[in-house]
Amino acid sequence: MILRMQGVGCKYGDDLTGSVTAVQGINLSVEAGETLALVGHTGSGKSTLAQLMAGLLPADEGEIWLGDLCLTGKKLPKATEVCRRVGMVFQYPEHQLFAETVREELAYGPENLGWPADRIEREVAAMAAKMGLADLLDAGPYQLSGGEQRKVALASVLIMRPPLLILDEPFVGLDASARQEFMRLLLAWQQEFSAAIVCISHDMDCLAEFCRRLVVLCRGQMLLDAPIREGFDRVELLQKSGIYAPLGRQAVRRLKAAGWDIDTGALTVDEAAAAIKAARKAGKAGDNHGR
Amino acid sequence: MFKLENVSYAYDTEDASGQGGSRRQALCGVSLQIKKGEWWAILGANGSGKSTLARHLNGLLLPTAGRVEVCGREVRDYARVQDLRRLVGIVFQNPDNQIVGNSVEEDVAFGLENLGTARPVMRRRIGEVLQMVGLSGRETVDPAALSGGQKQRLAIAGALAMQPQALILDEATSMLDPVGQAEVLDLLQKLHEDGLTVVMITHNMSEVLLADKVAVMSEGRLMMTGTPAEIFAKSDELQKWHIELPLITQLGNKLGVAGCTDLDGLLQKLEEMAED
Repeated sequence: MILRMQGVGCKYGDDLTGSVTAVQGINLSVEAGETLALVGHTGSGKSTLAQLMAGLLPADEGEIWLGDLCLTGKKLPKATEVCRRVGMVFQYPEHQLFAETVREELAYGPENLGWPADRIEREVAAMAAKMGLADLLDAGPYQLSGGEQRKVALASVLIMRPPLLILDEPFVGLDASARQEFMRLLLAWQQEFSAAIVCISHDMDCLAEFCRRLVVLCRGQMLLDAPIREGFDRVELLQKSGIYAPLGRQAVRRLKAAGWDIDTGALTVDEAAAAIKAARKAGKAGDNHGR
Repeated sequence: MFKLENVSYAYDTEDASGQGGSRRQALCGVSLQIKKGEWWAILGANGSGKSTLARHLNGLLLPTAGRVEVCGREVRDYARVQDLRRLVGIVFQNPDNQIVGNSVEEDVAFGLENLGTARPVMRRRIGEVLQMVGLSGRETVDPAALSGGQKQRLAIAGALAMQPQALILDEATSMLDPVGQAEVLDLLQKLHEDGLTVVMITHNMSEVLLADKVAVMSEGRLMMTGTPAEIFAKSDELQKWHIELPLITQLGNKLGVAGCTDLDGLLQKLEEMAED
């Protein structure tokens, strides 16, 4: 078990000025190798939950465990102990960059974890090669494009090999090819270290390509926790929290409703196109024109 | 409203040691006319020069070559840059970076106070713009307590308080959830109907479909302009410039239906094909 949350709640403000409950009664376990999509409307508590998981925010109630490390005990765990277990890439990666060169940026985390210098050098070179940053090691982060900055921010977290990686809107502002590459790098890294990834996003189409499990938050509470293909079948429940199914799913569902004999499991555009083609072919074979 | 003639821009870059270095060419000979009241979307891959272009529209950047006219006047001829900024408001991706007030009304007041606007006028104007963006009744709220969509509407209110002729949005909805996006887009449609010129930089293809005109950028150059339907019919070119097609167009292409811009249209085509 990489992460376990039990009865977790968190409030902002205090009793004098009036408090707002951000999340409440969260029970969530994440295993190695999982990719979990965390979705919900603005203000549903996604970012609060992510910060609780990353030990950046103390919980007001409940228990949070990162592996064998308890974040909610009487004594707060050491920051380095938390950093060994969880990494977070925020919405604006440029805010996380501060070193003078990409090389220093990548070395910063490992230095704080007390890795020996020769290991750091080795790992920085390896990570840069993997991420396509090898030629940019001596560049300043502000000379990089947005997509490159995003990769540096990601690399500086991945290099510490956190068993749990939390990504907050990782795809925003990336164009199609940068996004594809970003997903490919992440999934390759995940397979290598069998890490768990929690991904917050409003982009259901990206999440459908990337994640296998769907967790929906609504007004601070967990509304749904299901395998992603099943999760997107809960149309009414999802609409309640303003979530749309990926386009591929919408298309096959609409055709099914129009009387087509079609498999409605598709999520991505590729899957939907394949399902529609299969339905057409079967329709022709049965001589009922795709129905 | 905007007239760009052969506009080029190069960023000065330094290497890590602080030595003066190379120049990075971000815009290359861009010529473009945007008429008053039009809604434009600017499309392009990362690093194609979209944001650099947008920053030329209100004098945040001045061209290294070529000329930019705003409301019939060269940007360098504006005696005070504030006058230009009043005409053209700009809203960026991250609302947290552009909100300065401790309360909603203070934030909207910021620009007006800098102009020395009389108090009663200021009060009235704040009331009007908060009404427009749907934040009436939240005057005393701390902006930090607002949702992303509300913050972005507040940022738009701050720009509207200056009574601009045009509003530039640089990926202003990309951080918002579908509900927040819809709120901002509804607001923009309303403002556009009232005659505001809108220039929107976006990666979101469903937003591009709302625009009257689309400008496509690649490597600092303007590659083509046209209506959304005209633009998305040119799949091959767009892909060459690393511009993603809307998912619905992609799905249509895979099924042999070209130039699709909405799901209803595609499903209708598929039904017709099934009946043939």
